[in-house]
Amino acid sequence: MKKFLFKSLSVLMAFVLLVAQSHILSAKPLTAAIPSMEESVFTLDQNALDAALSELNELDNYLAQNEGVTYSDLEAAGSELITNISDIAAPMGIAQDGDPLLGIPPFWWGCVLGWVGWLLVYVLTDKDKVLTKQAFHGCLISSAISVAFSVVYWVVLAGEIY
Amino acid sequence: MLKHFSISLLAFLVFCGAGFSQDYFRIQADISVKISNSDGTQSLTRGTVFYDKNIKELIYDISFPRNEKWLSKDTSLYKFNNDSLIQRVTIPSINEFTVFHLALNSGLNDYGLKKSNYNISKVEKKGDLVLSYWKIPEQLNIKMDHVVVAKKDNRIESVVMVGENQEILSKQFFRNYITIDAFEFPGQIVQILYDSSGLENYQVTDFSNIKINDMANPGLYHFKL
Repeated sequence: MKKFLFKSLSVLMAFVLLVAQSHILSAKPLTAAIPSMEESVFTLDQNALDAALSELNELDNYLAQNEGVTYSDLEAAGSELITNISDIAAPMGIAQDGDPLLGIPPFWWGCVLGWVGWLLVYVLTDKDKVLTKQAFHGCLISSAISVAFSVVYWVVLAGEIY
Repeated sequence: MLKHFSISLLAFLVFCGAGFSQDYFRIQADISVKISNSDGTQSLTRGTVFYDKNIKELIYDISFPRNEKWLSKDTSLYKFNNDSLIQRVTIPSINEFTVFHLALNSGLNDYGLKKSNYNISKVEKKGDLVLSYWKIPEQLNIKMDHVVVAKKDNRIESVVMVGENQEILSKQFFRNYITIDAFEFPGQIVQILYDSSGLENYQVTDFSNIKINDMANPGLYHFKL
């Protein structure tokens, strides 16, 4: 009888332990209720917006009437419209500055600097395959041109000697 | 007789259904993006944007500050100058969360939150606005507590993002809606981002000359790399 009671108690305790663990796992942490928001938060201060964008609106209106004008055109003309405005494009709202290739296409890095340019593109663009491939093409073409010139030079030189 | 009537009725219903449920899959618009930061820096970008929800390539044909083409595809942002690739940047995959994708998939009304794993916490009416509060799941581990979407006449008006300390991180206002058939798109989106000092940084995007389902120029919506 005693043995039976011990066994029953053990099973019961194991069951209680299991249920307690399940409750702990399924219990959600207490989170504070989200406070309500005032209606005024959803009102845009048009005056502040107009003040912040006055120079940009002026430039935008000018460009709307003069399609095709670029920043360089305005810079060359000494226009005051771009005085406080940067030349960084940000159509997605992300100012993507700091082009590691300084705006020079990777092909020309490879073409002008050869394998050094190719290596620089590889390192500066953090091993970007597409850009490195373009630099490699530039490197190949410049090497091919160099070889062609060398062959022509030696052929001409050999013709003069013999 | 009854059989013919049933077939005719079924055909009529199918026809009506097809007529009303027009699929919008492609959008083109002229854009003007103005950024004015609290530190005094400003920028203006003008151009045309192209997006097809099936191709999922976001293409910007930029005319100002200089002629460039930007392609956002998967987790890459490619920049081209005179058809020559000048830069490739790794970015988060954002195309399916843009206003273009949401509008074409009728998901702009709830800011795409319904299909996300955010949980709606409460809904309340304040004046003309219906506010829905969306709790950010803790698993996401981002410094944001909740998002509040304000709708008016079942149209999204503004979105407010709130931080962990109940401070406002950003506000977005969707204004000047343009309606083309049954398709609605905001003519202007104003975003205000608050920096750590509480100062306001503005970003205003204006859309014009919006074209929907342009079938004549499919090449504009896919960029061959």
